[in-house]
Amino acid sequence: MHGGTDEICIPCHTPHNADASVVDAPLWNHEVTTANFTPYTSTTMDAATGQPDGVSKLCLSCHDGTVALDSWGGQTGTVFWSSGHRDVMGTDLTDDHPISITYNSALATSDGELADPSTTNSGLGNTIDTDLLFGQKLQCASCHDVHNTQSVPGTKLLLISNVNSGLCLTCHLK
Amino acid sequence: MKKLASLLVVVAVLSATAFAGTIVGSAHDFSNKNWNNTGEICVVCHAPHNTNTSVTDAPLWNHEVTTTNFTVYSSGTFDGTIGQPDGASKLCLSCHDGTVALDNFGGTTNGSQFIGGGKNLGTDLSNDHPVSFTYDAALASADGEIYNPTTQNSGLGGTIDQDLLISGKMQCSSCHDVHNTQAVNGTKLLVINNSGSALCLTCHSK
Repeated sequence: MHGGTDEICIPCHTPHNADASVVDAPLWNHEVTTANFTPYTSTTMDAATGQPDGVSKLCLSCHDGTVALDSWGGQTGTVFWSSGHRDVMGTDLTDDHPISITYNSALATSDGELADPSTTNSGLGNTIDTDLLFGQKLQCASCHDVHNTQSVPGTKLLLISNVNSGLCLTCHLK
Repeated sequence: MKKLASLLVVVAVLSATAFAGTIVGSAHDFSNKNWNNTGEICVVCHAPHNTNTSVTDAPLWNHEVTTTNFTVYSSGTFDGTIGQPDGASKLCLSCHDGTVALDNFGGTTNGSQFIGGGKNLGTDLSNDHPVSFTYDAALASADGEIYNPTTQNSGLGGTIDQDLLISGKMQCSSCHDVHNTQAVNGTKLLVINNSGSALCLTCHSK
């Protein structure tokens, strides 16, 4: 792994002297992005959008392409994804599914085609709100399991299989 | 009396409708097509990342967009302005104009499946109901035989403007529910049952 270590967790986490600047960042050890993102917008979306926060801000601290992958533990790295790499979201998120949005019963009601997250089962054992949301917010980790602990094999770390678009249809009533 | 009559029509229409409820198994469920080997339904049109944002309000669009210059509907009795299809209609025509392969999604540009039969509207829309035009109170007033969309109920709970128009414009999706979420069973994904021409008569005051 980059940065001169054979450890797995350390590019993101550390037991001591962690970065506590991002809400709910769990013992964070990677340089946090300072990018100003262009969020997804749509006239048909009832949710309010803003800058990525929480878990998503951590994900984008590698996946926006502005911070070196090996910038962790206080060191400034030099390794970046190649230009146009498909795992780089960039700072223009208008072409990506919205994240860091509050997804609650009120949103489901005003939209009319979203499952009520507080009552609808996620398929993982509990409700969408319990299993997939963070403080009622949809984040990157609502779909992607960063640690591959429960993700579906052969997918991009998806928490729920998207065969027959099952992941999409967990929340979107189509 | 007229109000009572229109109320009865609304009640009759609502009681005659049956909602299909889901895209699964609908005319737009391409998961079992031999030209779609993803095993997914939504991906033919939508993707969560790296989507096409070139068409206004295209929701996380994943299908190649048509570049056709259409012959649009025109008529001496039409009071509005009809330009090239835009918004949702442009997206629909990206399969339904017959110029873009159905399997040109997710970046694929060499697809070989094209829409056929009556579902292919072609590039000459002069024989189709106009789309992508502004339908507002001013148009209704100038025409004299279409309802004011900002005050007339659609029959779906709100006004024509709220329920059927997109940013004040009539589009393909004003009549057709692409995801079959609320479409009338047994129809071509109509949002309102056209028994007794009720769909037509929602807007056309005839």
